[in-house]
Amino acid sequence: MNFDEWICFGIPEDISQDACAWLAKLDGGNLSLSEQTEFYTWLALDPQHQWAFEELTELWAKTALLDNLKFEYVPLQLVQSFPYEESCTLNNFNPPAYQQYLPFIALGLAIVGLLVGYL
Amino acid sequence: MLPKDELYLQRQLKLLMKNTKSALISALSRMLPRADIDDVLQETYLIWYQKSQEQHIENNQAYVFRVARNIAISRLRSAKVQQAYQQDCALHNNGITASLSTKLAESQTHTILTEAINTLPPLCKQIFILRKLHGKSHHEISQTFGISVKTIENHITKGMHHCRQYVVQHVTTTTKVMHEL
Repeated sequence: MNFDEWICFGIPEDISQDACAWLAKLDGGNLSLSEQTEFYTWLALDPQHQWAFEELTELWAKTALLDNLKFEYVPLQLVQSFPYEESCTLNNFNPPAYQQYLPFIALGLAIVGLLVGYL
Repeated sequence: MLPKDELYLQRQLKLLMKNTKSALISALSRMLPRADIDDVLQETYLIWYQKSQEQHIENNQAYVFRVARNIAISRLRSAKVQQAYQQDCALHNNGITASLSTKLAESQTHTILTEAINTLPPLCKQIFILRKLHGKSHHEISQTFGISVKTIENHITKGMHHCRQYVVQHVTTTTKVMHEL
């Protein structure tokens, strides 16, 4: 995708602002008949209206290709789905049962090591 | 083509010119010097005439508006290319640098647009991403954030305006830099 370097060239700010508003409205859908008429009237009123709207639509379409931004949104539900009760704090952290035998095992291995070294 | 059809087309052309000419002149005057505008108009109506002989055009006015814009832009572009070529010749460059910078511009486009969206206010950015990259409807987004559909619309308007300004600004500065080189 490459921008035309003349994109939006010569189109005044206020017209561009109106074009953005129409784009957002149309994107939402559900336009009433009078709103549709209003839109087409606006579009036909001035070549600049049509130009601003068409070029903005191009830009709008191009933003859909930015896959790299897709995961910048972290859904709130995902964060909430970890129940608070099951969360682990230091106070209620119970070590697994085998851990209490670890010193004895270590001592046993040390003795074996020493014996092997001595022999 | 029957002569009757020719007559019909000529009458239609007259009407079309009456309805669109002054609007086109004032719109084109923001893009081109006055002397070029007449040429652009001539070419525009000629293209419309030739096209209408071949096929029916759904919306004549919209068609004429679009053609005029395209002709104006191709004029601006060729003027710039000519200028760049003359500069290249002056610098004894045979166009290699020009093609290189075009390639660079292409790969940067993605980055510019990403930057534009990354510089949006946080909520606006989230709404934009949900709408464009997750395909959520305005209604769904309004429920996610607990705000009205009208507010979603306003955020999208604001976001698009920002993106447009960002891109335009970037494109003009790049063009300027290239001219200065």
